[in-house]
Amino acid sequence: MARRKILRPGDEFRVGDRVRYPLPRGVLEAVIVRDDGDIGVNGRRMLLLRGLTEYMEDTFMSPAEILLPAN
Amino acid sequence: MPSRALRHWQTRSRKVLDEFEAAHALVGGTPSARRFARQQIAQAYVVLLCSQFQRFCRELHTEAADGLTSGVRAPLDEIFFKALTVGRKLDVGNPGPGNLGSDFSRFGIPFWDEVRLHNLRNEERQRTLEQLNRWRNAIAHQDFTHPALAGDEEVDVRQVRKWRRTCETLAVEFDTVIRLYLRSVLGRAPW
Repeated sequence: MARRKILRPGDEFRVGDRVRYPLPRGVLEAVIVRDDGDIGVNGRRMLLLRGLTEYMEDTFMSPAEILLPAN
Repeated sequence: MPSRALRHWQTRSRKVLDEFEAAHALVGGTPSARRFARQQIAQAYVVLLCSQFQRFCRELHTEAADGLTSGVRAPLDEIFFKALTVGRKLDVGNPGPGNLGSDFSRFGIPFWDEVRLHNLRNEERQRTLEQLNRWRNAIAHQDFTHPALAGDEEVDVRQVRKWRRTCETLAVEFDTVIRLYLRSVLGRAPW
């Protein structure tokens, strides 16, 4: 019998999803451009994001667990 | 303990690259058709080797950035982690010595100096990696005019195997150098 994987925070996100990346003050709107899987320390899932504001268009990595769904 | 990145490289990437070896060995047909097909496979093998090695380097960088910031209190941890990975060259560029040095130096380490210091033979391996990336670009862009290629437009699969062995050795060297460096900075094993 197949075991159902326990979902962790952020497991619901997929490549192409719009998300909010929390900043100490406010949030940054971003889109997920690559899913690198559970490559972080202790198996944290890592995603490559691209900022969607004129102030932040570069890509950067983020753990999936800290992201929030876009409004 | 090796990084997850190295374990992925030594399992998943090895399997993918071995499939190219198998395909190269299975080519049949007339001698000229076989020669043509093998050359195409060898060229694809170069591009694939480079892309797999790029993924390893990128994953090692991510894991190292995560390890370096995992003991930092919130919200500084995510601020530092983002700063270490933003606009990273390995996300868009080849795993050439320049891009590797640029990205890994963000951790405060003179990357290639440390790699060469760790093993004197790594200087030669660094040059070999540069050569592999030059061939990768020549194949991907079908532009063989770089003077270093000396007019060659065909790549020998035996050469690709040598490049692969260099990447396999450098992967272990990079893993060790970064792990030792992070341990010295953090005062504990990073993973």
